[in-house]
Amino acid sequence: MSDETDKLRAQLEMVELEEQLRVAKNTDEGASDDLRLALREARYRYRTLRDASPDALGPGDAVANPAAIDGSVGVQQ
Amino acid sequence: MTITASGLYGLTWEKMFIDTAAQSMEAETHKVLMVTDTYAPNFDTHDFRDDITNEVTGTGYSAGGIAFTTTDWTITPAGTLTYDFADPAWPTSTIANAMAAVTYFNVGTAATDQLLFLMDFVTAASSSGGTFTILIAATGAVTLDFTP
Repeated sequence: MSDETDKLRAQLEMVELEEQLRVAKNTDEGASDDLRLALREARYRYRTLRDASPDALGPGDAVANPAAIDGSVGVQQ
Repeated sequence: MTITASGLYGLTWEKMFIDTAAQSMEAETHKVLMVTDTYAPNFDTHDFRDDITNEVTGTGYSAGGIAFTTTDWTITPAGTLTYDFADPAWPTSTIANAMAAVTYFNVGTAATDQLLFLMDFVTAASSSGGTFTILIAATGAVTLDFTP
């Protein structure tokens, strides 16, 4: 399977889970931890593939790729 | 160069910890705007959107930015809280020299919209009739290591 196919498959999985999250958030129960974890993992998979093999930009397109904000929460000993 | 790092706006996070922000970070109504490098962030004192200066302007971009959606907090990887959302994008836009994105709770006015965090692009980006996309990092937008 090609990298592009892997990336597209990962993107489709991510988009599907995003839609499930949208729907779940509108229910009384809200989104489950399992669904949110599955989406986080799908996003990680897709974005890792995307960053390794970025899509070609169209005319006039632009991207910004900020790093994650890494914070630490410590407990004083 | 006045934007030198990403960061969390402390006063809003303090309000969340003491339960006075009256907001859920997993709501789907929060917004993200973009600024040029002329904005000088102060993470200790800037708390509302009216503290933000030098917001970008341009075709396809409205002041105040756009909502970011499918927000979620998860505990992953182990020992880490991760905040994430879908990549925000401005299609068919002409936006010059965007240097950072600022997220906020969309309460309703610039004087009441509570600032959340700033993401430094490091390198300014410009679109010209195309789509401007903020590619959120694979590891998420914000991570809090609670077992450092």
